[in-house]
Amino acid sequence: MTADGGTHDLGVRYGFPHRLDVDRWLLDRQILDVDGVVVGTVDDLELTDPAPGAAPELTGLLCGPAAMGPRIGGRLGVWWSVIGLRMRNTADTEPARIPVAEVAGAQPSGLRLRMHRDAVGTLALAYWTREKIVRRIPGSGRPSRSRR
Amino acid sequence: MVAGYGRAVPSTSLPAGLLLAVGCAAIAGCAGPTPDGGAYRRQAQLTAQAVSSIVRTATLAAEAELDGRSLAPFSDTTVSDAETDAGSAQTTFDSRQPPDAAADRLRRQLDAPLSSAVDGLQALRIAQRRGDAGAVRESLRQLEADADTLDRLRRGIP
Amino acid sequence: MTGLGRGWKRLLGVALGVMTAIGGFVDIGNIVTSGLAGARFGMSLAWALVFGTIGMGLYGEMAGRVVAVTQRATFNLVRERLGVRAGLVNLAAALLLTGLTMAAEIGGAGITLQLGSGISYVIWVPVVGLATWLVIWRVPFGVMERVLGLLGLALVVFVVALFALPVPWQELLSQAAQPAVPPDEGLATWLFFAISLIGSAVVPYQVVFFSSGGVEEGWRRRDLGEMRLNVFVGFPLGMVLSLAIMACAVPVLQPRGVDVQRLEQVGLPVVAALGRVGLLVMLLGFFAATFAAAAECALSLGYSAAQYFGWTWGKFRRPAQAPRFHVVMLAGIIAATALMLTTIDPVQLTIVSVVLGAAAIPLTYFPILVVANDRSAMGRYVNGPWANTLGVVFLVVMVVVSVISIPLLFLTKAGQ
Repeated sequence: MTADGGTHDLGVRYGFPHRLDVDRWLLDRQILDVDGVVVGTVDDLELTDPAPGAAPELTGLLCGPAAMGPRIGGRLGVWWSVIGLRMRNTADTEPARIPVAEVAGAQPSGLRLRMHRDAVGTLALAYWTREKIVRRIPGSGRPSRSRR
Repeated sequence: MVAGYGRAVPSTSLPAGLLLAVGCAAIAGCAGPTPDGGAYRRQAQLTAQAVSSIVRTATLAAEAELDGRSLAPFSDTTVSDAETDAGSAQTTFDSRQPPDAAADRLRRQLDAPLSSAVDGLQALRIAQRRGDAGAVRESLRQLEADADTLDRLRRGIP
Repeated sequence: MTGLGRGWKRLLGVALGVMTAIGGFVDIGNIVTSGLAGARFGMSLAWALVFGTIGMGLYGEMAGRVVAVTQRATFNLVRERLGVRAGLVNLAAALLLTGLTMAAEIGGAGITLQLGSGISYVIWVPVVGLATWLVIWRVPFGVMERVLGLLGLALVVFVVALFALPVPWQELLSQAAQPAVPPDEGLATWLFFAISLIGSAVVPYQVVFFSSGGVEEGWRRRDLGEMRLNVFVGFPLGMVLSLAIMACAVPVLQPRGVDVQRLEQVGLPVVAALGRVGLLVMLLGFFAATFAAAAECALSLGYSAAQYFGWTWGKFRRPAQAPRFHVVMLAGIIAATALMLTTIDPVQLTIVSVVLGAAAIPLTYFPILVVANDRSAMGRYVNGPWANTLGVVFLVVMVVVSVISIPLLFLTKAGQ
């Protein structure tokens, strides 16, 4: 697995090219968990040097405000990271990380994981808003319709 | 080593620009001191035009009501809104400082039809709510005359 | 059921979809700008509405095609193709504009209720805001779209009114065919209102709503034909309603020098032509169009934010399954209702928001054009030469519009 020249083999299905331009095919794409539920977007990539001087390898996908903040840059980016971390309600300052091995493949709507959404760790704000706001409003548990 | 893979995209402050634009557009509509005769004449023209438009809106609605072709809430709202709008147009114009003697004359010329229109709209609203067809017709005649006067004055302003 | 029965049912479904698209095309922006332009400029700005509708059709079709093939809605594309920063700028602009538009729609619905009841719109605004939220919270997507879209068809009353009014058809047609600045108006004002009409046809929230609605309804490749029919038949017929609003103003308002500053003025020609029944039908149409648009704006706020950040979204889900999506919409509705309660003038707000909307179009449309051209994502559904040529020409014009719109907003003091 190499990320040299911005291309990367991810064992892709669904008719996508085998060698991927990581910038174009990974960054800012949606991530779906094992059940197809959206858990976030690829906010940044984790590249690791296997040995000094060797080409860096893609080892993980990073998600959440702590990954997004530095990419926004400037003061807004710093605020973004800090507020995002506060909302995550953990002492951990690292962004949520998905090991590359957990990526099952790409489908038109995004990258599909082998993991369950709760293992990813990006849904703290979703759970907080659900428990503190949405669940307190009557009718929150009933669907408006079943999908065609 | 863990390295961020950030793309540098030039930052633009479009939202800030939009906010500024909305704010300025709102402020630009407010009245301020008038520096010269030309701007005063332009303001007089705009006021005459606006009030004539407002009066004719109210007369259209009131005529339809009189003929039983409208609904009371619609006609009443239209006439009341016209009354409010004409009043505020007059107040805005009155708050302008006339810069010279010519502007004073213009102000006096406009004052009578403007005041008559505002009073006429009030009378129309009252008569219409009472269902007093005679009084409505009376107000309509007066208002048509006021609107004609305002149109004539507007066209006469250089 | 027999094959013939299924065929009829399918035909009915398609017709229903097209009729929904017609009613759904018109909102407070169309009502106000068309009425205003007709009263002030005759039909000399009809071209702007036609131009805007062509652009809306082109990009609506592209966005719909991208959804049917890739299941990715507009703000997914924005984030993917523009990246975090430019995407965030785009999102902020879209949220602000859609919020302003929603406020104007809620105001328009409130004023319509005042015109029908005599009770002040300030009382109605919170009621409309609450009703908008209830629709978002409880009413199924298809029911919302169909019922409000079909009620919006009541605006056909403007077409009927045209035939009851002494319309100088010859003159209107020649004004529309050979556009020129009327003698007593300035070029800047004329162009400003041209931009407002283009903006009323292409408001960014409509593409966001249309493409996300495609995801909500589970469009696939086999639905492309139906989607195209909605876009290429429904939108132009929606434009015809807008043109009728414009044309109705010409024989009634223009000769009297009535300058449209309030919603009721747009309705005066219908009262003059058709009396009480016409007025009632028109008020129903105004309400359905503005209320539907308020709900669509609210949903677009949720769609844009959720797609940019990668949140779960969709009305087909239980609110508890898409909590952040629902919180954004709730906050948006509260903010828009609060803005209207400051008694800001909804007509002026509408004009400013459609013009700024026109200015922001390239931001939303550019990523759609890029993805629709991406063969690796679209396969054989990639843009053809026609869609590309027209799409690029439209986008270039919109960039020019974008550059001149804000100076014109100041120069003309928002068209005063």
